Amino acid sequence: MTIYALETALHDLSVKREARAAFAQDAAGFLRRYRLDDRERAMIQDFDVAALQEVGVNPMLTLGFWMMNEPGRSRAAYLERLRAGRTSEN
Amino acid sequence: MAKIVGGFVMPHEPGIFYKPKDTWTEGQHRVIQAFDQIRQRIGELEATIAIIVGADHYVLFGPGCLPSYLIGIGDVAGPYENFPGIERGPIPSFPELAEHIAGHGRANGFDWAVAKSLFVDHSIGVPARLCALPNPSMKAVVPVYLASGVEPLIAKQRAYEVGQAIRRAVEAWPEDERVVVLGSGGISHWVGLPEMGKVNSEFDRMVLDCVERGDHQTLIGLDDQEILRTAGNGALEIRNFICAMGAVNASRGSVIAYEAGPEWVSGLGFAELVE
Repeated sequence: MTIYALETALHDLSVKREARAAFAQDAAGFLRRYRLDDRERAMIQDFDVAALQEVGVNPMLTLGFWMMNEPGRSRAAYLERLRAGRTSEN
Repeated sequence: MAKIVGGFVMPHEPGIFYKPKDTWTEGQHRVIQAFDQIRQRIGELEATIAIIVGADHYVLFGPGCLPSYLIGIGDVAGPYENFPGIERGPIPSFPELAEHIAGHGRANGFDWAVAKSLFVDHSIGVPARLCALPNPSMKAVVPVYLASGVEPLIAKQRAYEVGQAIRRAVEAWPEDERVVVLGSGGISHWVGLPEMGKVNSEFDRMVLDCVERGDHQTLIGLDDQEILRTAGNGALEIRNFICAMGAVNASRGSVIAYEAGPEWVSGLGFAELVE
């Protein structure tokens, strides 16, 4: 088990318009394309950027993922969420 | 024979380029003046080619392929980002020279990755648009990406050696070209980390002092974990400065500007490298 499936999903969501559209429409369905476990899927669906960094995801990806997918697309909100710490279960 | 006639280090912080002109602070004006000064110096050097050393930010290259050092040998365009007033179309490239650098390296222990088509990001696209291409003498841009932002990082010693390999390859090019090398990177900054927005001016000044002294050894000797702790993940981009120092064979440098205001998330250092 590596974090690279997470990084692959987040990279796709940062740079591919089709991925972003599919995620916005049906996040759970979109994330089934990747070899992620339930906990990892939850981190992405919940935009839990602190948890993602805790498991070792590159911070450039968490920022890019947020700015391109989180509805508010605000860096201030990203930093607020990141500084508040993880919110996912487990 | 082609030769390297000069070099520069400079930042590429996207926050500089998104700001509408009517919101510019005095610091922002000084930053733009520093880009203008580099553009002007490149013109005075009558440079015909700019080799620009940038960093990918986990955008162009993904988990499927992460090159240690890469050169664009074909079509080039960019920047990837849409900055107001900065053109985004094709960038004149020099496939023959770029292929020569890659081939010369390959014959001498440098296994370049290549991009046959490359849509550069802001780290290369902005210096190309602002500093290189506006000069009438400038014919083309050769883009080089180092792994200076995403693990596995290129070793700093290797970044210097890649710069030296670029120099040797340029000097082996038979046609008369005047080449400048631009090392593009922020100094202290925390990209996407909770500390984002913080800078460490002491670290930044230390880096610029090394640039002024032509002291690449001290920069190479810095421990990456210590850089991460004191100056953030973005400061790992000093690899791009080190590479440019290697290409120029810089014995000294001259700082053009340093800014670290709250307008940006990075320490911004500009300097000319002198052989």
